[in-house]
Amino acid sequence: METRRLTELTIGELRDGLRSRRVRAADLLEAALRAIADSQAEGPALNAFISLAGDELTEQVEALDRALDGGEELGSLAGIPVAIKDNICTRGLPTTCGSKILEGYVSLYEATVVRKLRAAGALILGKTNLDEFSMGSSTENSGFGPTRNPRDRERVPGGSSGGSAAAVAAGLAPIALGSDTGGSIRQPASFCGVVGLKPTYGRVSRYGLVAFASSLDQIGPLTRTVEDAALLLSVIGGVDRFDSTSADVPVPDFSGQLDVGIEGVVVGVPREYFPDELDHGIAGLCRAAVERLAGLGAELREISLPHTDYAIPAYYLVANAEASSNLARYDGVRYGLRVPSAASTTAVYRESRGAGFGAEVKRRIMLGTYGLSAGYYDEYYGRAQRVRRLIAQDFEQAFAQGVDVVFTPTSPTVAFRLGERVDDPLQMYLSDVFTVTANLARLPAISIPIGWFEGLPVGGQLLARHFDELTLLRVASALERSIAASRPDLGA
Amino acid sequence: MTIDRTDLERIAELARLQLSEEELRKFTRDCQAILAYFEAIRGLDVTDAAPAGALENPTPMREDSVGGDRLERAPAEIAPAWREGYFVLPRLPAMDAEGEGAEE
Repeated sequence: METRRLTELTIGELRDGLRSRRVRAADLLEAALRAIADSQAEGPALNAFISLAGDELTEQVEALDRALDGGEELGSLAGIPVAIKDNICTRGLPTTCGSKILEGYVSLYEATVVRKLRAAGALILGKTNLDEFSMGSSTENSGFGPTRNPRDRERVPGGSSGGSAAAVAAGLAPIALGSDTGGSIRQPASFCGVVGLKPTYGRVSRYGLVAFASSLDQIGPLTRTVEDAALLLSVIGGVDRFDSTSADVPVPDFSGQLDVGIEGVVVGVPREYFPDELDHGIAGLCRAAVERLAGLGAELREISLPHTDYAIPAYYLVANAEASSNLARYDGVRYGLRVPSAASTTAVYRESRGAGFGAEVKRRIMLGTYGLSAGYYDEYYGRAQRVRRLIAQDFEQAFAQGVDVVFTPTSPTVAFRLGERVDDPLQMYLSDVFTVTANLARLPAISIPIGWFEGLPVGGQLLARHFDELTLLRVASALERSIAASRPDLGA
Repeated sequence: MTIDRTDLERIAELARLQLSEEELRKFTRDCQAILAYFEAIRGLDVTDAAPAGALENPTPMREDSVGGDRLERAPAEIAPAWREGYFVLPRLPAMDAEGEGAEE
């Protein structure tokens, strides 16, 4: 523990340290700010953050340290710095969504998840980089420059929550929030070697999350351990009257119930997620992970999810259609960038949007508008919604036949090189082939590190029934502990 | 089914997006490749599948009552311009002139 920076400790370790006063909140904050500064100064800059909180943090930690010195019982995240993806609205800090069209925008209100974090005593450290409006799988589509992968700075961190994943992996913050529309938490977690959890749709309020595709978006944690993800989910989960899609389902103390073993848990392994062309290194690590689960008492079952091949088209048709509608609000009048010299009303819209949006956002708005336009709606959007139902039914059938969790690779590749796919949008979309199904079926899913291939981390994905994050986290935690016991360097 | 440059220009108009000549050329190529890949779902029989969405997730209703808001800052603080309790917007050409946008 002594060789790790304070920001590389788990929430439990930090909480013990803060309570026993071996760690001061001020020192923890200073360690995070120093690590961030170092990450910009050394080598090519990591560029994990778009903005950082200022002097108010110093006042907060002074008050926290005084309270802790006095032996006060504080919230479950008291003094813990949290990095927030920059599409989640925060008081006092800009929310840019990685877009020039929102540069300098400070929201009038705060997201429910951020309000809950503050109530638990967390310090909102800053806002992390992302693909513009979360549209991308590499964090190269940011209007504020790409984030680099801390494991290899010539490679992408994944996306769209690449800034949050890089921040946790590089030890700039112990924990972070991201958002996941088609894999945007899990794929960067896999590429950076950290844990990423997409909760069930409706588990976490989306109030204050800038909308990309409203029927798919979900906020979730990126952390160093499954236990930290569980703890964070208990803090941010729950129904919210400001989000009518949030679900009135009890939120248990997930982190306190992980250590019960997985004897008899049925793990489904879908053959469609292990195609012949899957990289042998990734396939081998997945096989080893599945065998570990069997060794821990789980029952393995090969299953079929027959509509998997249709997931990428269905996902991109639904997501782009919703995006084209959600992003209509950026009209040059209500938010951010405005091109004032336009000659007509429509020209104000056209020119502001043309100047403010990046290439990928424009491409997706175009595809979404096309899929919703007269003559094509039934053939594209309508059909995609029916395929979405078939994909959800595939999982329902597996769960009805007794499968408790499904195991798959998180991504078909390890982190790819910067620039490698940026000119080929279809190749970039195929990065999400194993992650979009959880969003289409609204299921909870987690990515955890399962090993290294060619010097880069590999993630394994687990999915579970709606609102059964407890089983999901228990299996993930058991696998994580088993791997750590045999390879203590894995989480390094 | 394929998509050509004329389609792209029409969609850009619908989406209120100004695209450069280079973007139009590149997006035409990109969209052709992407839509060709998406064609796969047109070969799938979906007649027995109801569209996902509204059926199982109906929009919940709530009492129509006035409650507090969660504004952290007054609108006047962030408005580019603010006068007598109103946002001041630029005069849009369509409001006072005939022409391209006048019918909107």
